[in-house]
Amino acid sequence: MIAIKEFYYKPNLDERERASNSYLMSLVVIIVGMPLPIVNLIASGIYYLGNTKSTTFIRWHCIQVMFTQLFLFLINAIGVTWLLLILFGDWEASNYFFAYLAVLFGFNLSELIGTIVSAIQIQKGLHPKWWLFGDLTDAVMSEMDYE
Amino acid sequence: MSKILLKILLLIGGMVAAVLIIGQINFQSATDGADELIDLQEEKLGEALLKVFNAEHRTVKDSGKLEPVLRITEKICEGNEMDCDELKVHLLNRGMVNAFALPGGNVVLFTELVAVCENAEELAGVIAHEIAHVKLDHIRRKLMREVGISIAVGIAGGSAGGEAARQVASILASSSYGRQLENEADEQAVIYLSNAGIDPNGLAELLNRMAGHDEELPAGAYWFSTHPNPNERVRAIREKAWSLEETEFEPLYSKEEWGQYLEKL
Repeated sequence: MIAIKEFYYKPNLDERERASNSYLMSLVVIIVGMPLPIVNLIASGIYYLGNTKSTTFIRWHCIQVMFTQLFLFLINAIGVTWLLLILFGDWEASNYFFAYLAVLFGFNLSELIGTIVSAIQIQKGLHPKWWLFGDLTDAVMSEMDYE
Repeated sequence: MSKILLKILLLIGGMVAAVLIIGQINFQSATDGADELIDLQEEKLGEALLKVFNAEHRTVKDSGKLEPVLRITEKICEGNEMDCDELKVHLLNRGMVNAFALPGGNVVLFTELVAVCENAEELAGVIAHEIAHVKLDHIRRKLMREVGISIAVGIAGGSAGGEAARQVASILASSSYGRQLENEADEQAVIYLSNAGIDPNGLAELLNRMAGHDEELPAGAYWFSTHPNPNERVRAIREKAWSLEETEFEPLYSKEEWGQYLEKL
């Protein structure tokens, strides 16, 4: 679900390093963020804010990371809320709850692998574009950014 | 933009479909299986611990002596829709005032405890209290806290040896469950007794009498020494009994009948 493409210009070594770091940033705080990766989302946001004046390549990847973290935060938040309702409310731990946990595990694992793959590809100067999140990033970046 | 919306819908739809499909797997049956395994271990552990007591003390088999104990247990089971076969109440001939619950649905009463009960309602209170420990899963918690699950499983499997079984039996017979669990068991006992049409104040009367006569407690009155704060508990039991629907309770046995039974014991 990650298309490895080439950016419209060749990023230099410093750009690759900083863009790659945006992915690694989400990995570094993964332990702190479990099971609700709000910390990861905040870290990605702060990293983006620190790079608003950077080149298009770096900002593009910072935004893609933020979208992936936002998605993970939302689906994990649903899981945690469901769990709390079971523990402290009168909800039942149904088969669907366990199924949702399995799906959550799949998404979190995929995201972890995708993040590592993306960080490595960026170091090589390539442009990994995630399914959906890459499109969202394209939509967010203004036309000017690509000129 | 429509391409992005389509992908978002696809993602949400995919997630919902995955949850619905995976949700068809019965995860509950896996946990039920684990519970059955634990229950089986507890049953074996209970049998192993009972052997310790049976080796030391004589099990009462006289139907006349057992009659009130069995009748009270059946009455509690019937009134509370319990499966009486899951409960095994044993009366052991022993000169200590003690009663306790063992794993596997076993409740053990010593004859000396029955002898200090002035009426059948007091005995019913003790039995209901121990049944509550069984039904509220207190024994499993006590085992985990004080023994450790590995030793318990070792005894159940026969690998831990007789000395370990004796020590665990001693812990279960002579230590308290702690204030919270004892209060829970009291409260549940009152409900059981009330549902069974037995006066729940019997338990309070017994505790109250023993609390007021500490110096007169018979030697080896373990049941009372391991059930602390009697005054507080008497108050809580009476309050709970009072809060339940008021019912007229028929005495289980007349004074004369109970007196004759105690003489026989």
